[in-house]
Amino acid sequence: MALTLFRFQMYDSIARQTRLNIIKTARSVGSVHFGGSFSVTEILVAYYAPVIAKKLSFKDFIDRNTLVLSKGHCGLAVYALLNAIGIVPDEKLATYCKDGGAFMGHIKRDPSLGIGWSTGSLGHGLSISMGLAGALRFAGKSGRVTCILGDGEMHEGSNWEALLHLSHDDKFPLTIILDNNKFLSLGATQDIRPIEPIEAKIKDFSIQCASVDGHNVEALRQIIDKMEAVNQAFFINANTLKGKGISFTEGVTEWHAKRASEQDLQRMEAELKAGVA
Amino acid sequence: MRKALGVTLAKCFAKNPKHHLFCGDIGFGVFDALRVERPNQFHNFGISEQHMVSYAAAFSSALNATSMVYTINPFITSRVHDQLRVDVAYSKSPLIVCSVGAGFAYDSLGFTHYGIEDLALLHVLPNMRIYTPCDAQDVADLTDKFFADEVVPAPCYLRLQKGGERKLFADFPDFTHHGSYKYWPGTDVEIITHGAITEEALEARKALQGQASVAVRSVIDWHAYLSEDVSPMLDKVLFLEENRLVGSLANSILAAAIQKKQKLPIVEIKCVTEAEFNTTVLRPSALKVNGLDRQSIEQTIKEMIQ
Repeated sequence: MALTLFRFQMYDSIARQTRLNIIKTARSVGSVHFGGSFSVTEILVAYYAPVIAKKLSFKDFIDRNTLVLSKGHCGLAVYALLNAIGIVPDEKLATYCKDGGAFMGHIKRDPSLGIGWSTGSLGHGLSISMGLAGALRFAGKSGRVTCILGDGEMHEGSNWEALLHLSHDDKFPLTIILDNNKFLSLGATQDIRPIEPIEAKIKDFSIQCASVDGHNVEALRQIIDKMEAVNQAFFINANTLKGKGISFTEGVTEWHAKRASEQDLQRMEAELKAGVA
Repeated sequence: MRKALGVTLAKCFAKNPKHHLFCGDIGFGVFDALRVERPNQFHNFGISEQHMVSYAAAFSSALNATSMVYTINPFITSRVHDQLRVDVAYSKSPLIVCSVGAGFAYDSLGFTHYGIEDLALLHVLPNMRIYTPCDAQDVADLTDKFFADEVVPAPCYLRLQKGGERKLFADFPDFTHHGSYKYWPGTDVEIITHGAITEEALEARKALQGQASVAVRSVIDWHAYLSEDVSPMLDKVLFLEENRLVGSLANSILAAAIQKKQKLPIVEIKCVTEAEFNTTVLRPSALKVNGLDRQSIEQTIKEMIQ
């Protein structure tokens, strides 16, 4: 019980610091993708949990795990988390979106960080992840690829081409996590082009799928660990809240990538530090 | 050309199991040897070109070994252009993007199957090297070259016509091979061309013997050729291309000449100009309409030397 509480506090602390890093970065560059970066935060904490819990060194972790953030516009969340766990130094994170900086607005392939591909054009990441996982399988190497998709991105036909492939052959060392925050840029996914019931659709493709609270790190990690034990691809529908963590950004369309005022940023920081939302 | 590809791939893949072919459910009979002898290296992706290109790009990059994607020209060039741009070109994936159906090769099938914008789409991409073989021998040579080493230094675009093309190296043997191009000598007018349309140029050259001395330069490796001194050898040049003017070899050569402040030759450019196709157009008619058939080429050259 004490261990669980300790882990919860550790994960919560990293998630909080990740969001604070996102806000700090927004202060220096203006507009960032707040909504999707906040919604994906706990998914990333769960992904990096073995490093956060010090079960694996970061090097050992990325030797075994490759991340493809198919919703590449939320790359800042990855960099912010890697800073929170001491992998990316402050001065490097500070170059995000800056002229000559190492980190672009959309995530870039970086083997030293375990980032498997450059993304930003939606609908590429799942096929890319399957190709990377297919190469692992062909070469007889151990390791796993994790692909994080956005729910709006599920509109892309290429994802359904890839899912048809998985429906036929799911023996890939591949974890797919849908950050199902239920919002596009201009409104609710359900109002624009509904994708639900996504779990049923994925299961109709004969792909293993489970839904989970995408802000519950323990629950996410448990399902990742359980399903990774089976040597095949699986799909986690992580139900999340866009803009999670800040009272006035949660589920509010305009915070997809709104330029925040200094007052907004101060309110965000105050809420996170006080643990309001 | 496609038969030469199938035979050569089977031979090359037998030497290295890390090479793979990803195809979009075409090539009946073309890849039989590969499918039978190396089934683990042949992957039919069905009709899902976007997925196929991204998958193959990541797969070949992760293995650090050259693979090939193959299907009909517009479906592996225009339909998947974003995948080619992001996952192949900018990502420098060791992938050979191979199209079949250059120009009007699939004439009776209609404009959806024409390969006339592909070079504009592929040549604009960074890191992408363009190859335009003029006959089956070129295809075999290029395929051997692509898979001679485990990994190619840059992604490549290989543009095939279809099948049944003449063996130009045998029927018009008075050429010299310069690596990036083949050259048939002449002194009055130089035709610069590429791909299967080279046959029309060589037929016109032959028909004009005694009236005009025509040189023909068929460019095979665009990257190598454009990296060299590409100034035409003669002061009258006719470009023949079974593709649009934008993105054409003519555009690249003339732009290079202007940049280098070279004296420009007298130039005629014949390429595809139609904006719409409302009826079935068979290749001979399409070539004629665009001044690319042998009779039109003869006429153009006669006018140029007057």
